[in-house]
Amino acid sequence: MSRDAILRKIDNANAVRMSSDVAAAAAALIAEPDGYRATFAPQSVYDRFVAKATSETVTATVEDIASLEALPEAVAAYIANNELVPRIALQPRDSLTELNWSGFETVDQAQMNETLAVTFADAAIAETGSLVFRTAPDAPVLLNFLPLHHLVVVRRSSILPHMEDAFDHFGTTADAQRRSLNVITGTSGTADIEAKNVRGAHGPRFMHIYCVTD
Amino acid sequence: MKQTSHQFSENVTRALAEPTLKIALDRTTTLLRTRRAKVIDAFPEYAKARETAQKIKDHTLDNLGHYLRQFEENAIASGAQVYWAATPAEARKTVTDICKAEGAKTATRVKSMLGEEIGIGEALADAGVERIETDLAEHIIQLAGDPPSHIVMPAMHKTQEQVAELFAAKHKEPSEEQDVTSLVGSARRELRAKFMNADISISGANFLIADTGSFVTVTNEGNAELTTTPPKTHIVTVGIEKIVPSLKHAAVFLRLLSRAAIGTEITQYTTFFNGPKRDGDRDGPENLHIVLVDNHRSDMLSDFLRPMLRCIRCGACMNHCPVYAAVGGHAYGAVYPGPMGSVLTPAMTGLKGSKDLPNACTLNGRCREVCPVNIPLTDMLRALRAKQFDEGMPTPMTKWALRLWGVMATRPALYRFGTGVSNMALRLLARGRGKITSVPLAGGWTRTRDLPEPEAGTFMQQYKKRR
Amino acid sequence: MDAGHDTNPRVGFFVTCIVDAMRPNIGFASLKLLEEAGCTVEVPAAQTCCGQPAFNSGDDATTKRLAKQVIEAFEPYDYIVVPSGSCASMIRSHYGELFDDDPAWRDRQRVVSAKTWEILSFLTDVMKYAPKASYAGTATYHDSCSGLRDLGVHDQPRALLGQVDGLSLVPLEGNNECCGFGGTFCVKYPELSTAIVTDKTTKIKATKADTLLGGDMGCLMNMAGKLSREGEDMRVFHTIEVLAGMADGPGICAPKLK
Repeated sequence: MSRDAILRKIDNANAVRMSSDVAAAAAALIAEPDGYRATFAPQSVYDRFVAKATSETVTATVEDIASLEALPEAVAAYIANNELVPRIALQPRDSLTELNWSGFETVDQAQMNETLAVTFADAAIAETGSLVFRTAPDAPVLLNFLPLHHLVVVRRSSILPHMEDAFDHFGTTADAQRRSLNVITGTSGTADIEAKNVRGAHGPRFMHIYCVTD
Repeated sequence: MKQTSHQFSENVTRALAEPTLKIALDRTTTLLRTRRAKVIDAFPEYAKARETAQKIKDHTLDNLGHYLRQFEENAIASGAQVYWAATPAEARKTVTDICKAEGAKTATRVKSMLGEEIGIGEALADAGVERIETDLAEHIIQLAGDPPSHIVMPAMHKTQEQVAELFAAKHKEPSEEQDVTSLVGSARRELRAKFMNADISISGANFLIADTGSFVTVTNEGNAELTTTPPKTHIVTVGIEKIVPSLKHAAVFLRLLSRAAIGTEITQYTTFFNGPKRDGDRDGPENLHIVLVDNHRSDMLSDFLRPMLRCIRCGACMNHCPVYAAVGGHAYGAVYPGPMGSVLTPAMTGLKGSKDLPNACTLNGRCREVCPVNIPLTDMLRALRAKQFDEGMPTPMTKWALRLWGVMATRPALYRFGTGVSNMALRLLARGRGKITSVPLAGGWTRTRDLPEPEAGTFMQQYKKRR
Repeated sequence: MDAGHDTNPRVGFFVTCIVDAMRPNIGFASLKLLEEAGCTVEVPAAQTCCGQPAFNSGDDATTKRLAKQVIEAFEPYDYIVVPSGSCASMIRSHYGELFDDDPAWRDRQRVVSAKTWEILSFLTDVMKYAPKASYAGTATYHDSCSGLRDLGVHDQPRALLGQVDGLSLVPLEGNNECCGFGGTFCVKYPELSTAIVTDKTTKIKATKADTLLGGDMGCLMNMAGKLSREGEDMRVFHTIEVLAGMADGPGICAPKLK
C-alpha cells in the first residue's frame, strides 16, 4: 500500500534527524512572532486596520457607524449613492435579520448574479486590513463571494492585531474553526493579463466596511 | 502535458523567434519585479520572516513522517477521506475512481501546480468528466489549448491583444471593448453559471496544517471558494511537502508568499478548510477527498535536493531569471519552468530527459536572492551538473575539451605555452582592428558579438619581460 | 592576521585566465594600485585558472586539482587579490564545497579562502585606498553577479569612482541583472546568451553614457563585444583601469588608436 511505502521512505530518509521533542521544537520557532511581522502600538490597531483596508492594494472603503441599529440607514445610503436596486442578500444571522430592513427586499441566500450582500465579519486583522468569516449555519460561505458589492459589518472591538490573534480568538482546533475560516482582504482581483490589476474577477468588485463603534 | 525538455534547444530557438512572446514576458516580469521590490522594502522584518520560514520548513521536513501522520488523523476526524499516491498515475487513478463513483459529468477546477504535475486533465478525461478551469489564466490557456508557462501566472506568455482575440472567438458574450477590465468581465460572465452547476470541484492546497488536519488555499480571484463550495464533492490533490505544523506556522508563510509572488502583503482570499459541510451548514461540499502525492518527494528528502522541498511555489525565481525572461516557460518543456523547475524536473522525471535544464543557467544567483525560503537554487543546479558529469552525460566533445583544458591548467608551464600560442592566433585573426568578428569553433560567440583583440603578449609574458 | 599586515601587507596577485589572455592592462593597473595602496605585490608563477569553468561544468575532480594548485601557490601571502568578483568568489565562497571529505586540505582551504579578496572591495574595505585618477566622461556601471551577490561588492566601486576627477556616474537600469555571459554558458547556449546581452545593451544605451565600467573582464567582454557588433562606439573599461589612470588606450573591443 502506498501510504506505508511512502511513510517508510520518509522515515528512512529522516532516521538521523528526528527531533526528540517535536512539539517543543516547533513552538520555539514561532516563539517571537514580532520579529517577523509588522508591529504597531495596541492603541493604533483601529487606525492600522482602516489604513490597510483602504490602501491602494486592498481597495475597500470604511465607514464608522455608532451602533448596529444605524446599519439599515447606512446601507440605504450606499444603495442610493450607487444607484442600485433595493435588494439585499442578508446573512441570516439574528443580529442582522432583527434590524429594521423595511423598504428593502431581503433574501437569505445569494443568487448567481446577486448585486449586493451584507454579512457580519467575526473578526478583522489590523496587520493586513483583512476580515475573517467563520462558517456557521447562519454564516454560509457564498454570500461573501457571489455579490458584486460586498458590504461587511465588523465590531471595532473584534479588530485584532494579527492573524495569529484570530486563531487564538476562535480556538486553534479544527472543531473551533468550524468548516472554514475565510480570511478576505478586499475584493476579487486578478493580475493574470499582463500583470495589470483588475477588480471583480469572479467575486465582489466593491467592498464597503461598516465599523460598529459601540 | 507532453514533456519536451529533452529538446530544450529547439524550444529556445522557437521561443526566440516568437515576436509577441518577448513583449508579453517583458511587460509582466518587469511589473512583478518592481512590485515585489517595493513591498519587500516596506517590510523591515523580511529577513527574519525569511529565516523563520526556512527553519520551519526544515524542521517540518526533519519530522515529515510525524506531521503527515498527524495531519491524516486530524483530517479524518474532521470528516475527510485521505488517500496516498506514490506516483502521478496512482493519483490520477484515485481521482478518476472518485469521479466515476460519483457519476460526475462536470468538474470545476482551481489551478494547482500539483494538479498539472499529476496530469489532472487526463484523469478527468479518463473519467469522462468535462473540466472547467476557473482561474482566469487557466481559463485563457484552456481556451487556447496551451500548457501553463508560469506557476503563478500560467498565461504569462499571452499579450492582452491575444487574450482579446481569444475571448472574442470563444466566449458566448464577449465584450466589445478590449481593455483588461472588459476582458475580465467577459470571463466573469462566461464562468459564473459553471461555478454553480458543477458536480465536482478539484483544487490543490498551498498548505496542510498538521495539528488541525486543515488545508489552506490562497487566491486573489476568490475562485477557490466559489469553485469548491457549490458542488457536492471536493477533491484536493496536494504534494506531501506542503505540510506545516500549525496554523500559526502557516501565518509565517502567508506573509511571504504573496509578497514574493505578486508584491502584495497578503492574497485577497485565504481560506482554512476543516473538512466537509457540517450539521446545519447552508453550503459546502458533503464529501471531501484529500489525495497526498509523493512523486519523488520522498527521494529528494534523502539527497542533495532536500532543500528544494521548502519551495512554496511563489514563482519569484522565474520572475527574476534572465533565461526565463528571454524564452518564457514553455521552452523548459515541463510542468515547472524557471530555476525551480530546472531542479524539480530532473528530480521528478529523470535527469536524462532534461539534460539541458541544469546547464541553461548563468548561475547569476538572483533566483536564490529573491527566494522567500532561501533555497540554494544555483548550488543545486551546479550539483546536478556534477551528477551529470559523474554519470557520464556530457557529450564526448565537452568531456574531451574539459580534460585537455584540465591537463593544461594543472601544468603552469604548458599552460603558458598554450595561452601564448592562442594569444598570437587571435591577434592574427584580429588583423590589428581591435576586434575579431569571426573565430573558428567559437561561432556561438562571434555570430552576434565581436571578440576583443588581445594585447600583444599575455600578462605573464609581459610581466616576465618587465621584471 | 595581525594588525601590521594591513599597513604593508604581502599580496599574492591572482591574474585570472581571461585577464592574462586578453587584457593584461587590467593586471598591470591592479599592480599599480595595490602598490600605491601600500601592498607588496607578487605574482606567483604557479597560477593558471581558479577552476571555475570545470566547477560549473560539474567536473569536481579537475576543480579540486586546480583548487589545490591555487591553495599551494597562494598560501604564503597575507592576502590573495583578484581583479574579478567571479574568480574571487570561486576561491572565497565555493572552494569550501570541494573538501568536505578531506580534512587536511579543508583546513588549508579555509585559510586561503578567508584571505581572498576581489580587488575593488580590497582597496576600499581593507586598504582604505583613495584613488588620484582623472577620466573625462560619463560612465554607467554594471554589477557582475558573483561579486555583487557572493561578495557584496556594490558600494565600493561607486565610492572609488566617485573620487575620480572629471568622471560622472549615471545609474544603469537593471544594474544587478545578469549580462548573459555566464562563463561556459555563453558558449553552450549562444542564442540565450545573445538574447540576454541584447536586453543589457539596450539598457546600457538608454543611459546615454559614453563609458561602460564593471569589475569582471568576462562580463565586460560580452557587453563590449555586443556593443561593438551593434556599431556603438562606447568605451568599455574595467574599473581598475580607470582608477589607475590607465584607461587612456582603446577600450575593450575598440580599434587601436596608436
